[in-house]
Amino acid sequence: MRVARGLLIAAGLGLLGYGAFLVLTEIAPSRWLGIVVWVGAAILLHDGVLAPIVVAVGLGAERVRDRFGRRGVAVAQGALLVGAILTAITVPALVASTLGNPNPTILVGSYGLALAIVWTVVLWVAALALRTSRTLVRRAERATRTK
Amino acid sequence: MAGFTERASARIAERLEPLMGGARDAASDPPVKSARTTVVIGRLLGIAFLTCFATGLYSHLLQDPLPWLPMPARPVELYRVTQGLHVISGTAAVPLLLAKLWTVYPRLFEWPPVRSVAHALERASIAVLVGVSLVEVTIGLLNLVQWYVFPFSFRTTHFALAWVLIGALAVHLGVKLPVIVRVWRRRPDDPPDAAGRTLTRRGFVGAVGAAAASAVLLTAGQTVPALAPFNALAPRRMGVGPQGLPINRTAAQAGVTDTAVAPDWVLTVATPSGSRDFTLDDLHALPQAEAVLPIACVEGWSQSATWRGVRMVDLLAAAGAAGPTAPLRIESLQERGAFARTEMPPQYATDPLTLVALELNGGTLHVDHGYPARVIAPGRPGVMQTKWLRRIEVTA
Repeated sequence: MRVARGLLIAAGLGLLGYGAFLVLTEIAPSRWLGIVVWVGAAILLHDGVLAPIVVAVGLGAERVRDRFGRRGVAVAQGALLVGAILTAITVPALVASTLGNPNPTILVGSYGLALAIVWTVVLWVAALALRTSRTLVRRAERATRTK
Repeated sequence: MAGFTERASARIAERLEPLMGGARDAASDPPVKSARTTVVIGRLLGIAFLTCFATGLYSHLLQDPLPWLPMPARPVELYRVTQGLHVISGTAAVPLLLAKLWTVYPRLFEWPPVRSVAHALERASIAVLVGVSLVEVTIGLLNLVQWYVFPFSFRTTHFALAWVLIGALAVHLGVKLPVIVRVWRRRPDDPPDAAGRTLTRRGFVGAVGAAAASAVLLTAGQTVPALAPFNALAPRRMGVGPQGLPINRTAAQAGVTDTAVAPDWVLTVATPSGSRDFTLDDLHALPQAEAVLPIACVEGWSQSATWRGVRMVDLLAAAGAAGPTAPLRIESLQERGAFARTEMPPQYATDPLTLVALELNGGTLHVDHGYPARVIAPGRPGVMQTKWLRRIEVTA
């Protein structure tokens, strides 16, 4: 374990060093600040905006868990996750196609329409899961009451 | 003065500690956000990143070859596969990276934030790993759609940061190895599935898998013919372009709309013993050959096509320079751009499948595909398949 850890850390530092060397030798110094700003902004946007939103959604899901049933809420969350990821990978194409490109063979999809369809499916799956699960919860509640 | 700073920092810590504790409690979700989930997702993310790194390195080696390392020309679809994999695993890395970060997010609020010098260094290396990973994936996606909003060059930055990422990843694995090994030696009190706040551990991994699979399914059709019917979200589409083939750069973008169709166009082949100009009629008069070869772009899209023209070996022989032993220098009519001049190592120049193509899919080459003549060779990135040829120089 000690040897493996030492090797991994030493190799990692070597690779990191080579990467830093490439940044310093292959990239003009005028570009360094832009790279640092992008890396810093990526951390801030993730840790300060994106992750808190996801945590908030999770807390909201927990609040309605007992009313709608654990299963339904979990499926709805999964569907939301798929929708969010597909949106994230399509936003660049969506924005870039509004900016225009002199090459007619790039950005040939209808990305707005595609995302609309994705979200229709995602929301339909989530709604169906929540409804089914809510019905099961109600039935169980009634069964305990009449017992 | 020292007493004042001490008291002030104690006051700040007093206020911050419960805040950080509250954030950690809100963000935590054991056993879903646990070392075990992190190891499971991290392993998949590690595979995706290593695939991206290896295929990216291969792509850079093809574009900037090392003199002592000959690159393979077979199988002809090799680059199509490696670069397709590069973009596909980069796309799959989006949900995997976000999921990986989600499982460790509560640790951001650990208290005290720094325990020792070693701990400070470890947290700094994680900041580098997280920031660079997010930037690599983001600028990769932006490059696919040619949206250059970032204030630096894509190619050099994506390459340099890839080394930083893999290095920081190896350091991270070294630091966390005891945790990983503990998860691998499954404790009996750690069942494979367990419920968290709402999702179970398997439910979470399944949802992330579904997100990664749907992202790949809806984009990989620009590379994988079998998935073409599902291609709804990728920037390119198979069959869409002049002569049914996409293009990376149009004649107008390259500034060759006039020079490419000039009636006095000739292809100059310069050899150590002299030089010969070939008109388009001269090229048509040479023996013609056909090859089925893919155009495989660095941006990950690819498509196979049928090319017809003069074999490079036949052209060089006609110019009196059979069997080159040094890279050919190939020039385009295109004046600007990093790939206006390219080099072709001898193993490609002497390959019987390498053509100076005059026709594509049964018709005269469209000007956006490189009319009057272009290079097409097996196993090379699209940017090296020089269009609008002007001059080929044999140095040895």
